[in-house]
Parts: sequence; structure tokens; C-alpha cells
Amino acid sequence: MGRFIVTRLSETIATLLLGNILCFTFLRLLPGDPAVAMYGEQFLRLSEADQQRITENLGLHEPIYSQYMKWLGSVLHGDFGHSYRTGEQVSTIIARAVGPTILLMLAATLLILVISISLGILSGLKRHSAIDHAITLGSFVFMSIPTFWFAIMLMLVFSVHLGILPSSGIGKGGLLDWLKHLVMPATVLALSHIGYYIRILRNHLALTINKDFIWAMRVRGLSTAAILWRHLLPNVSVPFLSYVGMSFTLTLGGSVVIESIFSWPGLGRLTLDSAIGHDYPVIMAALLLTLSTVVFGSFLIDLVCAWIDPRVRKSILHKEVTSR
Amino acid sequence: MKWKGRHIVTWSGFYLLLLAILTATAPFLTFYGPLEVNLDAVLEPPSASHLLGTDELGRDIWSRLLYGGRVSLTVGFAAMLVSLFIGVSYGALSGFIGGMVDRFLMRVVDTLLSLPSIIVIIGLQVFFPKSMLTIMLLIGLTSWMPIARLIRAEVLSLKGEIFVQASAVVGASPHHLLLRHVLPQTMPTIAVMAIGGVSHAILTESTLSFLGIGIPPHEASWGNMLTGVQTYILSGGWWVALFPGICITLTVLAVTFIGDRMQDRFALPQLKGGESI
Repeated sequence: MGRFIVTRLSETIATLLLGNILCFTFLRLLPGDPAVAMYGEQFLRLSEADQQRITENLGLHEPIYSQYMKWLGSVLHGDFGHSYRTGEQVSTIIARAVGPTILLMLAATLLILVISISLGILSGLKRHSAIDHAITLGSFVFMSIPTFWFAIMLMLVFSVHLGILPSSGIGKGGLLDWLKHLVMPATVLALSHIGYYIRILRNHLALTINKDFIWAMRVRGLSTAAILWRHLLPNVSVPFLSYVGMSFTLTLGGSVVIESIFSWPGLGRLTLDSAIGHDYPVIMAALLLTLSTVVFGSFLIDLVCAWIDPRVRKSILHKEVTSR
Repeated sequence: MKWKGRHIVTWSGFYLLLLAILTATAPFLTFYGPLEVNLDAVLEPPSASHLLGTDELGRDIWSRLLYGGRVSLTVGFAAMLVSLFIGVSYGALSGFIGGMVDRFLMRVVDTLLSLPSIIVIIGLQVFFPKSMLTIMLLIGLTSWMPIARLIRAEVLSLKGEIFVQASAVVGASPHHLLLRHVLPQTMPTIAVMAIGGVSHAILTESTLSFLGIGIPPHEASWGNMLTGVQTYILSGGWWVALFPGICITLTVLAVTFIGDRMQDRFALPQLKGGESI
């Protein structure tokens, strides 16, 4: 286990470094002068000397690698610089947006896990029954609906026609109001990703249930419940968990669209707005945060998988050997 | 999908064929051009003269659906080809070369997979002029990683197979080994990933166009027909939002059903579930 943790941790750190170098280079290569983004069109009307002074103050005249090293240095000290658009501390802006996003992600993840685990198990145990077909059809439909359109349709029904749920913003007064604002975004985010989770669980359950060791237990007269809890679920949990880790990026990507539609003041919407406004420091901080969350998240999930299943430990350590 | 599986696949195929015919013959099936603005008939509900109603500029929705279908299907198909090309070459090279190069290339894939593609596309699109070609390229450029991963894994294991080794022993060049012996074996995977790629591309195109950074507004697409549609549904114009969404959903659903059936046919258990893009 020790060696496993070290190997995975070094991979994680390598990925993080590579990722933020990539982000930084790519964002700096973008057209659209950051100085213009910061000071608006009037920057272009300034004298040559003034323009140069501002560019130097922002550190934009230095070669890109030294800009990166400087930036990395200050980031490690918790300083992400100032937003080009509002002049505010980036860390303040990000801190403000993180809360709502965490809330949305938690609510959506909870929905995803509860619904997909129960439906996935049901579907996997009763393969080829009417209920399995209904669940399968349902998951395919939800995989195919564009997230943003689904959000709009729910809005049409619940905000416009029934008028029972607010169509935008985050609640201010009281728990009930707050929940009302959360229901639609979280449901859309959850349902638009749920199909894959159900399919994974169902298919792996269907594969495992026909294995000899399960049959052996049946023959010995173990109850279905005992087999399910003690033997089937632990076997299925590894692929399911690693999918949860992998698809975290997808859910975060989905939250960009959903936060924009429901005017949810979170990280996704912030990133979208900053990308459109060429606000580099904010985009970099948001991307770095996303990247670290995803990478560390999948690291943690791998640890859990390795703890559950010794084969996972071996497969990562001997990846090079066995794959040849 | 044993149950009625064959029927669903047949219906999906039939639907896609119908869609292809309808969009191809659009000029004969419509009375108005897709870009024809009519300010006297703004936001009209479905009626005899406008089968599916009109949008905020009085453009005929039926006509825009058909012409928009051309764009969405073309983007879906072309973007899939781009991502397939990059993914297969990258994965095959990585797996075939192996060693440190492989490790590094796979780390890059891991990293790219950790960034939400929608944000990467939003960032990248400022490099390019706004056009259909740009969207195809960008969707392709941001969706090849899962393909590369799968192909790499297959190439790695195929490399050790006896028939490949035998060919190497009698002096086949690496080039010959890869193209003639290893890659053809990965065809089923490639086919299934291609199908998944089409639905991913159609969905992404519609999302980008909806956000106003995809297909430019002067060209109809299913996605950009929905741009700013929240405002019209608030004033009761449900038909503006309903029909393009149904088209996207049905098309992606049909493609997904066919892909799922193919997966079963080729018996690719490692693809089972959601490891599409």
C-alpha cells in the first residue's frame, strides 16, 4: 500500500504541474491584450510610453517562462493577483464563488449516488425484466438530452407555467427559499449525468452475477440479500467508484452551463464570464482549482479502490510489466 | 438491450435516414428560407402557414430545423473524424513506442482529461474565426483523449501477441507492423468510439451555439436556434424552445442506441457503461 501511495502521489503531482503549465501557456497565447482587457479601449488611446509603462507594471513584457515562475511563486503563497476587470483580489472572487458551486455539486452528487445506486442495483439484479428495460431506456434518454435544453424545459414547466420554483439566483431568506432555488439546478445537473452511472453499475453487476463464485454461494443456499451486500457490491464498487472519480470533470463542466442558465453565482459561471472577458488571473485560478480538485479527487478515489481491492494496487504498480 | 433491441436499432436507423433525406431535400420541403426575417410574423404559434411557428425575428422554425439539421449533422460527423484521427494516431504511437515516451504522453492525456472541455473550448475559440469549421476542429481537438487511452491499451496488449511478434521476427518494419497488423485489430473499438463521438459532438455543438460561441447566428443550427430562448419562454413562446431540443435529443438517442448495439455485437466489455467521451 505504501508503494502504491507513493507511485500515485508522484503521478498526481506530475499531472498537476503539467496541467498548470499547459493552462498558463495556453492562456497567455490568447489574442486580446490583457492590458486592454484591464483598462478598456482607452488603453489604446494612451501614448506609447504610457502603454509601455502599464505593460511593464503588469509584468507582461517579460518572457513567458519567467512570468510563469513568478506567478507560480505567488500562487504558492496564496496570492493569485488581481482581476483585470474589477481590480479585486482574485482569491476573494474565487472564495465567493466556491461556496455556491460546492453546494450545487454536493446536492447533485448526493442525488446521483442515491438514484443511480438504487436504480443500478435494481436494474442489474432484474436483468431483462420490464423494470430493467424502463430504467435502461430512461438512462439513454437522459444521456441524450442536452443539459441546457433540459434546464430550459424544467424552467418552462416549474417557473413559467406552475410558478412554484424560482428560475434564477441563489436563495436569500430562510432554508425553504434556499432549497427552492437549489432544486432545479441540482436536479438538472444530476439527471444529465445519471445515465452513465446507472449503466456502469448495471453492466458490472450483470457481469459479476454470473461468475462461478456467486453461483457457488447460491447453491450453498445463501440469501440474495447476503450475496448482494457481502459479495456483489464490493466487487462492483471498484469500477463504479473509479467512474465517479473520472466523471467529476464532466459534472464540473456541466455546472458551467447550468450555473449560467440559472444565474447561479458559482465557479462555473465565473470561469465562463472570465474566459469571455479575457480575465486571465481569474481563469487561471479557477482552472487551477478545478484541476487540483479533479486530480486530488481521483487520487483519493484510487486510494479507496486500492484499499477495497488488492488487485488495483497490483495493477498500478505493475502496469508496465503486465501490459507488455 | 435484448428486449426489442433490434426494433429500437431499426427505428433509430430509420429515423437517421429520414433525417438525412429531409435535411438534404430541405429546399423542396420549406416555403420560407431559414434566414428569411419577417417582422410582421414575430413569435407566431404553430399554424397552417408556419407549421412549427416562428421565432423572435419571424423566421420559420420548420425551415430552420431542416437547414439547421444539416449543420448539426455535418458538425457531428466531421468533429468525430477529427477526434478519431488524433485519438487513434496518438494512442497507437504511445502504445507502440512504449517506455518513457508512453508514460509522458499518457500523463498529458490524464491532464487534458481533468480540464472541463467546455471551458477549454471557450478559451480556444478566440484563436479562430467564428465558423462551422472552427467548431468542428475545436470539438475534435478536445474530445480525442478517451479514444487515445483505449487504443493505447489495445495496442500495448496486441504488441505482445504472437502473430505480431512473428511478423517482427521475419523483419517487418515497425511501420508495417502498426498499420497492417496492430491497428486493423482495433477496428471494433474505433467503430464504437466513432459512434460515441458523433453524439458527443452534436451535444457539444448545440451547447456551444446555445452559449453564443458556436455556430455564428447567421447560420441556423439546432443549438443556436435555442440561444436566448429563456426570454421567449417567459413570454409563453414554448414552440421556439421545444422543437430544436426534441430534434437534438432524438438524434443523439438514435445514435446512442446504434452505438450500444454495436458494443454488444463486438462484445467489448471494457467499453461497457459510460466510458464514452
